[in-house]
Amino acid sequence: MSNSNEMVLAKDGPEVWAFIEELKQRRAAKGIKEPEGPPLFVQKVRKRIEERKAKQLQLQHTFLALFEPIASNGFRAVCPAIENCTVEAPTREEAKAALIGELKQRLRAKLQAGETLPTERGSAEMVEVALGES
Amino acid sequence: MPSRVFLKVLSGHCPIDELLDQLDLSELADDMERLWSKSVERLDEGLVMEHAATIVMRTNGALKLVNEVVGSSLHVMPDFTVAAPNVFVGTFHTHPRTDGLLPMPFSYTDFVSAIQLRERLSVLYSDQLVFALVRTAMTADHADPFTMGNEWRAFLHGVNERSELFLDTIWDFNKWFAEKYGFGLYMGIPDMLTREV
Repeated sequence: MSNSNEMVLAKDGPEVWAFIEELKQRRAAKGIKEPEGPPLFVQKVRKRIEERKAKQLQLQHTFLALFEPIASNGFRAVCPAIENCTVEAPTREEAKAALIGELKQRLRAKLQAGETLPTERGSAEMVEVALGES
Repeated sequence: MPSRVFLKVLSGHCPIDELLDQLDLSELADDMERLWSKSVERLDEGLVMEHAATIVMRTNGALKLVNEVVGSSLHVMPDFTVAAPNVFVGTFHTHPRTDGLLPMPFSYTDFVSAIQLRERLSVLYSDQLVFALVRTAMTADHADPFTMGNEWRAFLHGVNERSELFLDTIWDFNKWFAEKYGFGLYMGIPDMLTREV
C-alpha cells in the first residue's frame, strides 16, 4: 500500500489489478450476476456516434471541385480534399454530376466506417504570370 | 493551429465552467490506435502489455506522442523527458486486459500520478474508447496516494452490493474522483470526447 509521501510516477500497478480481481471473485462468490450487454457508458458513446452519423448524413457538405478538359474531348473533375477522387465524362456538367455521385458514395462509406468526414480547406484562384517581368 | 479556447483548456488552470463540452484529439488517433494494437498483439497467448507515451505540444500548438514505452500487464512507467522546444502536456497510456473487463477506465493511481506530475492532459485508451483527464484551476495541488487508495477501495467495495456492471461502477468511481479532485473528465472516441464531469 502506498504511503502518504510517496511519488507515484507509474500508471497503474499490481495492487490495482489485484484488488479488482479480488472484488470480482467476491462478487461471484456472493452470487451477484453481471447484467447482460455492454456497460452503460459504452452504450452512451455508441449512441452519440450514431447520432453524429445521422446528423452528418443530413448536412450539406461543400467541397472544391476542379475541372479540366482531357484529350478525348471530355472533362475530368477532381476533388482534391478526398484522396484519388477523380471522374471523367463527355461534358463538364456530366463530370460534375459524376463527381457529386462519387463524393456521396465516398463520404457515406467514411461515415459507415466511423471515420471523420474531411472538411474543405483548399481554395481555387486564377493567378497571372507575366514572363516578361523579372 | 489549435484554437485559443483549446489552448486555454490545456493550460492547466482553465476554470471548470469554461471547459469545452467536447475535445477533438484526432491528431493523436493514429498513434493511440497503434499503441493499443501493440498492447493486445499477443492477447491470443493470454499476454497483454500496457504501453505509454508522453504528450507534448509543439511550437505550432499541435499535440504529439513521444517517448513510447512498454510496461507489463500490470503497470507502465512513462518517460517524461521532453526536449525543447516541445512542452510537456501530460501522458498517454493503455489499459489492456486479458479477462474481458473492457474498456477499463482510469485507476486511482492514474489520478494520483496525474496530480503529482501536474499533467494538463492525461489520456487513456482502452478497447477503442478514449478517456481523458484535464487539469483545471480547481485541480488538487497535492495527491496523497494512501488516502486516495483507501477512497478507491471503499468506493469499489460498494460494487458487491449493487447489481450493475462492474465496469459501470469503475466508471462511476472515475466521475466521483474527477469531481472530488477538480479534473475535467472526458470520454468517447479520438475525434469526439464528450465532457462527463
